Amino acid sequence: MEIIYSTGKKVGAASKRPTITTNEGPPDKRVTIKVFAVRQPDSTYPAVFKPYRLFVSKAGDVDVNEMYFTVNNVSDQDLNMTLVSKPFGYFDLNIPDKIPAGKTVECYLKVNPEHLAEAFEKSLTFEFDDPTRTRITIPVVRRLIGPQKQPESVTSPKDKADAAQVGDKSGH
Amino acid sequence: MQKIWLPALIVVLALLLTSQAMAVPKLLIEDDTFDFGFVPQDSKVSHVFWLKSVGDDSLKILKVRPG
Repeated sequence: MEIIYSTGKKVGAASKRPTITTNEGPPDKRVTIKVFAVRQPDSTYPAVFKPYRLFVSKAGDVDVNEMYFTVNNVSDQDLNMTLVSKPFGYFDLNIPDKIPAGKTVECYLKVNPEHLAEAFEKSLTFEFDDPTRTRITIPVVRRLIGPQKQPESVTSPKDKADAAQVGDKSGH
Repeated sequence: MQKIWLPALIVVLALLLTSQAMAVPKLLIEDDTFDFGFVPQDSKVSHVFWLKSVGDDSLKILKVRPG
């Protein structure tokens, strides 16, 4: 079950507890999500993501479906970075697991081909091994702007013939 | 012979009915809390929770209400 949370203009800590009703009967089950919305995501501690929001969009024929982003360790201790939440099957990711103190590492994200035809708003959550086990979530947004061509390979010649026949029948 | 079969049939039927009545659905959510940590203002974030059906009857999700 995917839970999507929109921070809106709010800043600071917030939590939500969606309720799930099943045929198991009462009491209903609940899940809890917690966020800390920040106005200046380019100054988080102990690490800073640049950019802190990834746009992998398509505008007409120009398709940005892969991108590099950096993580800067702004603390004075080496950090281990773990990806703790990602949408299943959407991205191919290359992320170093260790960031030396004061250094910047480069990460790579690519949208998997089966999700190129859709617009989405997903996110990646990273956890660092500093004393407070800080987590940082970066949104990944894909927008489809302008007219989009349908992929040719989706419809086989037989499907096209069948579709034409259905069209002929429905016309009468 | 009939005297033996009738009680046996009743016992089998009773057992079947009892096992049907005892079959209950059960939902387990092992990780029911997720902390996104720092999130940029004015953005959407998402997380997938795994719902596990651990009962002996089919689990049906009837409704999900936002918190």
